[in-house]
Amino acid sequence: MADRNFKPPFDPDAKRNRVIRQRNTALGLVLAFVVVLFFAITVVKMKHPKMPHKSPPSSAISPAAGAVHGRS
Amino acid sequence: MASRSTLALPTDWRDFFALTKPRVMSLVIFTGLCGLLAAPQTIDPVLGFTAIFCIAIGAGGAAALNQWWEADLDAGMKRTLSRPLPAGRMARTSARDFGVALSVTSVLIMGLAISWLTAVILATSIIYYAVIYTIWLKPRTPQNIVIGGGAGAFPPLIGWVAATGHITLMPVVLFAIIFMWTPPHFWSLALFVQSDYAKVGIPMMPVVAGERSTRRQILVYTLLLVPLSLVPWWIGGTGAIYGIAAAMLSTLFLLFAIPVGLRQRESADDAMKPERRMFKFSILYLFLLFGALVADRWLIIQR
Repeated sequence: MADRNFKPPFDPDAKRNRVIRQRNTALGLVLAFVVVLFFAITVVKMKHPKMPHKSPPSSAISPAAGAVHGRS
Repeated sequence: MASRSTLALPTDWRDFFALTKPRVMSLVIFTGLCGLLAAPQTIDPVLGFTAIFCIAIGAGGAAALNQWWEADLDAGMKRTLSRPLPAGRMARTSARDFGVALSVTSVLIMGLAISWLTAVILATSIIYYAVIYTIWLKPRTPQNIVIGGGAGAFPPLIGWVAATGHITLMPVVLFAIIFMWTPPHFWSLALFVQSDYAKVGIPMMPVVAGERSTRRQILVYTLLLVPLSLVPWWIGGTGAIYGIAAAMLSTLFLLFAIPVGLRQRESADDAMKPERRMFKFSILYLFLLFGALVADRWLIIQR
């Protein structure tokens, strides 16, 4: 019967490979995220060339405060 | 030739993540998001997300550069001893390259996707933190936190400019609020970790000017913050919801600052409870104040 308290001896190569694999996965996910982000930005820019700055939604914008209240 | 097992262990991705100071980044993301949401103009959600993402990785890059420069100092302080560089889990050049890469990427994406004005402000905030604060002011003057506080004050300004495309009085006031909030926030922390700063020779206010002067200045800055936090309402930038919230929160902040400002350390092993309480509340204060700003704006839109 196998010893339940058995711990395999520390293997630096296995640890090293695990760290590298995790780093590669993290980097791959970051790159995939950047690709998706650039694709989404491109779609938005093509749909609305003047984005991100639309015209103000309200005529009540206070020029001094850049705010939405008539009170200024 | 060295066998594979004698090669140094490569840096774990978690250490790169830790280099970006995720907890500080969460406050930066929050205030940047509040600036973006409180602005009177709307922005496409994808571009809004991109702006906040750029603010976050810009802050992460600046934090990495800060840790690269201060690796030796961090090794001498209990609070920072376990960071990736002083703990020896990462090469210094890796931290520098990572910081530069994040900073440059954030500015470029901001410029291409949002606007070059926003990108310039983001670049200024990174240089302000990594060069003006970390390299220049921090080791030279006890006023480092006062001037360096500007670095942390940029995110709502960047968020606002990302949404509107221009700088008005309101985002400048938001900048000023964080600028004025930073000294009482940081000095209350410095009061209970000052032995660490003294050990590595950082001229923090409690180390150079003494506790009494620091406590007095904490009180002065908090007193100045009370009317300043009401300015957005006073200039018409927000409604009554924000005004009431700001008045209540700032009064409460002042109530936390008064015992810190007026007391003296009772003994060498003083638990510094009022200082710890004030430090914790200062973080909550900023979250709630900017939360009120967004809630106020949201209620205006609903009307």
